[in-house]
Amino acid sequence: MSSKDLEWAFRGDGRRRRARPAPLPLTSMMDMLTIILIFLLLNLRQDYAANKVAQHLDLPTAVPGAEPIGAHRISISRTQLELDDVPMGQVIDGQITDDVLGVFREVLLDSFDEEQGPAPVVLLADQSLPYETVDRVVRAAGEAGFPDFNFAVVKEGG
Amino acid sequence: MRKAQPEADINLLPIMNLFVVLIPFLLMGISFLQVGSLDGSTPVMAGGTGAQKQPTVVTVQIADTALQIQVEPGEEAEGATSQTWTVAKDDTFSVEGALVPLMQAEVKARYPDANSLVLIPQPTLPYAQVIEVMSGLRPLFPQMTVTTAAR
Repeated sequence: MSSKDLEWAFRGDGRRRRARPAPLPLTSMMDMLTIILIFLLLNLRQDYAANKVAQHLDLPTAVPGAEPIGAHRISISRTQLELDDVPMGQVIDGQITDDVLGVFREVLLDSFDEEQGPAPVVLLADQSLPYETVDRVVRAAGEAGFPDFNFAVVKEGG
Repeated sequence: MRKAQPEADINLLPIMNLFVVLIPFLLMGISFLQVGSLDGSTPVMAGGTGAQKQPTVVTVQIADTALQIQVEPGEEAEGATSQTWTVAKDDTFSVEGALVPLMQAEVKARYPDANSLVLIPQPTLPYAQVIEVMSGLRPLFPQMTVTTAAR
């Protein structure tokens, strides 16, 4: 609101005037939105695994080394196995059937690029799963030509 | 005499409109979880050339009740014999408090060139416990291979 408006509103000359609609205080809103915009821009990251953490998936906590970046993204939640966001099959009581693993291995094998060679893959697995389940997926990926992994974790205190 | 020009207000509405569109778009792409990763690998069959020296192999077996550390000295540690340590996982156990100091004092002090570690977790252990050990030992052994015991 400008000083002109205030002056007009408190004019004490006795005459009644028709009320003028007060303008919205846009400056303060602009300040707020600019701060929010800068905050969001600073926290925006491309190709960041956490943007797509699936439901029913609690990552373990650790002191991590690097960004979780890889050729593929394998996600093992408490309910589903996914490869690059494509469901491969269900996880039932923390276990994955051989059929699901077979499909997963085939799809991964088809995506193997011989010219590029083996590239690391990002593995997002629920912290409560038995290690046997994670190991079976890791082995299947290793057999398909992807033996190196980036195990995604939530940063301690993050 | 020139008349004073009235103050022109900047029209903020188009900028506001832009911001209101941009903010929900950016909110969809933001990550509130700080995610990182620990690198590791699974064992693969490799054709050996035969000319390479056998390196020191450090193995950590993780079970429900204890951790067993085994060191097989490589060719560079002449005369050294294999050694085993066991760390009980009692109520006071923690990776940072018990395992890491032991590895520093006993393994890294004797075999400073040992950079690779083989982790063998018990299959029924929760994945979080394996990651906890990996996270603690990774500064000492950057090359980590994770596997399970042959069944």
